Amino acid sequence: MPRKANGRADKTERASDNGMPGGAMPSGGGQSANGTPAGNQPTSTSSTGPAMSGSPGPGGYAMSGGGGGASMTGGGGGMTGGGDDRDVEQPTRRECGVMDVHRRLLSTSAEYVAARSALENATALYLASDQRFDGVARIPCVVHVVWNNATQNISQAQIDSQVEVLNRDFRATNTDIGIVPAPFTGLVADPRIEFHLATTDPNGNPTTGVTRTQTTRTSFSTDDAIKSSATGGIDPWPADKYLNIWVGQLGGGLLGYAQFPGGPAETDGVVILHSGFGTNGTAAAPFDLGRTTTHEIGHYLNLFHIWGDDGSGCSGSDEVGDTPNQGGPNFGVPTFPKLSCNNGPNGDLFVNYMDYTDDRGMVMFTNDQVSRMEACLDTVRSSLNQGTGAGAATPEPAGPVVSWGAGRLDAFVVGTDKAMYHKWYDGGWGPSVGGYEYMGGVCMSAPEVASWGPGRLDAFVLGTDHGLYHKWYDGGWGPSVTDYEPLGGVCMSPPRVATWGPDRLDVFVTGTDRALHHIWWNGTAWSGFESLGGVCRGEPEVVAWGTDRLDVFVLGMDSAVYHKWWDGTAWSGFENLGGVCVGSPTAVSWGPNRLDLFAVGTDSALYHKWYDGSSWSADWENLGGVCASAPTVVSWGPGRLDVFVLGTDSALYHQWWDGSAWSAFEYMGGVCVDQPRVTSWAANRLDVFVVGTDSGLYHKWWDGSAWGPSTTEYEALGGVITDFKLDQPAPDKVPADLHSPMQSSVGNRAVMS
Amino acid sequence: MDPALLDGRWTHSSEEDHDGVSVYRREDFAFPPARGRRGVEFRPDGTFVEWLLGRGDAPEAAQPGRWQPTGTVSRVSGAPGRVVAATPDRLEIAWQE
Ligand SMILES: [Zn+2]
Repeated sequence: MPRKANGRADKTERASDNGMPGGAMPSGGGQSANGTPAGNQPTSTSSTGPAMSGSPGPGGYAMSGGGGGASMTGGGGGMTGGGDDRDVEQPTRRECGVMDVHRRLLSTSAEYVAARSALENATALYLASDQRFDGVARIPCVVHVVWNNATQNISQAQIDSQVEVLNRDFRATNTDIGIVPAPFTGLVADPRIEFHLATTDPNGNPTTGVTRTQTTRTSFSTDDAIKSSATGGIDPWPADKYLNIWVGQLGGGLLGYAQFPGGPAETDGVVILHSGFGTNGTAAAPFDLGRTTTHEIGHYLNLFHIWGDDGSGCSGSDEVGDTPNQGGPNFGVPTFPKLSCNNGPNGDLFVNYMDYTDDRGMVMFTNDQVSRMEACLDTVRSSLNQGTGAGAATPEPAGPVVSWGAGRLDAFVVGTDKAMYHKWYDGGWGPSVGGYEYMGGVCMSAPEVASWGPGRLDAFVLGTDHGLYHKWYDGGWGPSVTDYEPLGGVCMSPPRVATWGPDRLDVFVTGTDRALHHIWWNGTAWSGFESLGGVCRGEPEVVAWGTDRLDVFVLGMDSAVYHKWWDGTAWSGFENLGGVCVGSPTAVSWGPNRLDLFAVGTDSALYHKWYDGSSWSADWENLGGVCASAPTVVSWGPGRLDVFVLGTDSALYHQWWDGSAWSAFEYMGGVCVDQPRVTSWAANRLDVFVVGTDSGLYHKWWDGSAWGPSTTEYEALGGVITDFKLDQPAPDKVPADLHSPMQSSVGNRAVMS
Repeated sequence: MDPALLDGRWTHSSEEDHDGVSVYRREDFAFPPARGRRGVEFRPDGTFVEWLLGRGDAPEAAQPGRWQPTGTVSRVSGAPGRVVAATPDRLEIAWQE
């Protein structure tokens, strides 16, 4: 038995947790609200639900044979980043302004002045109330590339590099933050705002979040012509749902400009010079670190220039409390201290994003600037914040428990009568704490449920005929509460489902030929089953990191993990990721171009492998432990992973990645009989469900500061739950002719031991 | 100096400033990128508009001043100035500050 790498607690340490070796999880449902251990879930098999047996579904597709070429080899490449060709322009310093702009602003339009005044009042009220949105705000962006010559038609890589900069700068994770002079480091704040290219366009269709428009205009000024098709630009997408970012050739050497909140919707957003956008392609020093966009989005979120916009005077204010009074803008990269307005000894906060320095000189927002931006996102721009959850860019993972939004949980189980049961949380448990909604059927697999948006659920199970069955919720249940839509097939694994956007479902199973099979809903109709080849052990795993992207993982007959992906155009071959695993891998994605894969090795330790957008980690990382269940993993946002497994003592253990390091295994009590299920409805929120030895469902949650009911206790949710797992034919029962391993002649084979 | 040469809008080409003189160029000049540039505008009715760095980085007009065919410029805020050279694509103003 290998050593435990990360110091998982053993039984003697745990004895002190709450004095009960088994934690607080009872083996009889004492906390059940309606007083019966089984809740109101029927335990007899005489329920009146329709039996999902009999003939296979329409088409009677037998998933055997065919599939051509089960070799899971090749498929490399195709996941590399873009190139870096750059036009070099000779830059100079940022230009200085003068005089009292306040007076000028007050003379623009009465409507604008009134809106701005109301907004300032709302901001003040908001700041006084000391509240803010939970977790991380997520802002969908559309980049409108408006080009006259091909050079200006910037690459996707250049656009992606800008999004990456924003996601560092607005999370205070930029690597150059260390240049902040020591007296100012206490001011540095994390705005907790993240940006992503939109995945759904205004018509509800999938999109890359980029529009490209060729124009006859050789350059644009600040007259907003770039923001309208009628004047050679392109119209914005609805400004209440998208941050519009126009990128093109600007005249007069202008790097960019922004519209503050409260202005007209038809011109809302920011405009950026293409050579001041992103970090590669046409981006040119000293404005090639993407900071122009950071600065303009600061304005878009209601930040003023740090010098107070009064020219070089000392009377202007940026309406931010913790920034020093400053004369005029700073240019280039000043050296500390830079004094003005009697602000010694520390002087100007010239490293701030809202000054006018070169890109490498601006690296931080302050606490009070962050509060202003948060106030903006919670008031005038609240419709922009998708937060985490179903509406976010990274699709909500499917599973037996899902969340379509903050404060909502839907849990599905199979009762001892093999029928499906459902309960939900929307502030309180429905139909009751210990009660369940009866949903009929005779299920041969645990329900696999996806949610593509608020108020939408799609549940999949296998029937006794091993066919795939589907039911959905869109305010009411279809085809009915207890009926199912047959989708056919003869499935040898539980279904695994992903949704990469509204009205899209992708279901994966293995067939009688043990190949991977795929069926999908495109918003209009179901496809037939498509064979994707291979010879698989166990159930497939699928994850969608964004629109029109699927990553599928299966265990080969050689116990290595194989990976196949859909890039929006075509399926790759099977990529051998190595390893020797005792069960199907678990995959999660915290955002585009990121995959994290977990599996249990033959030594029962937990192993981890990840894809960072350019390549897979070379080896499987040993995370230690002695696992008695497959891992369950969830990510509440970029850089965060939470892994749950059962130990050999049947207790729940938790290990997490916080963006920089793995925790040790945390002991969470309980005596559990099945793989834990987990969902996260927002950053800093986890809901964990386990089945106790009484076959009841138990729940615990992390609210951002503590576990409820406690680290080792559980909330009893009643029920008598049958085994969630579909019995798998053991490998030795697989027909011999299918035993040919997916052994590949290429690829690295990392042995976990 | 031909006053007609002044007509319209000019953008500060600060890189070319020299000897206390501010240099301005037309919009189509190949300015290097900058966060924002000030500008000036001479209108035929004698109105002089100074374009300031705006709060959102787009230039914003200050309260209008006056200009004379002699080349003298007065502002509501800020010291007066005098046009010391003008060609169709280049303008120089000496500000008394
Ligand atoms: Zn600005």
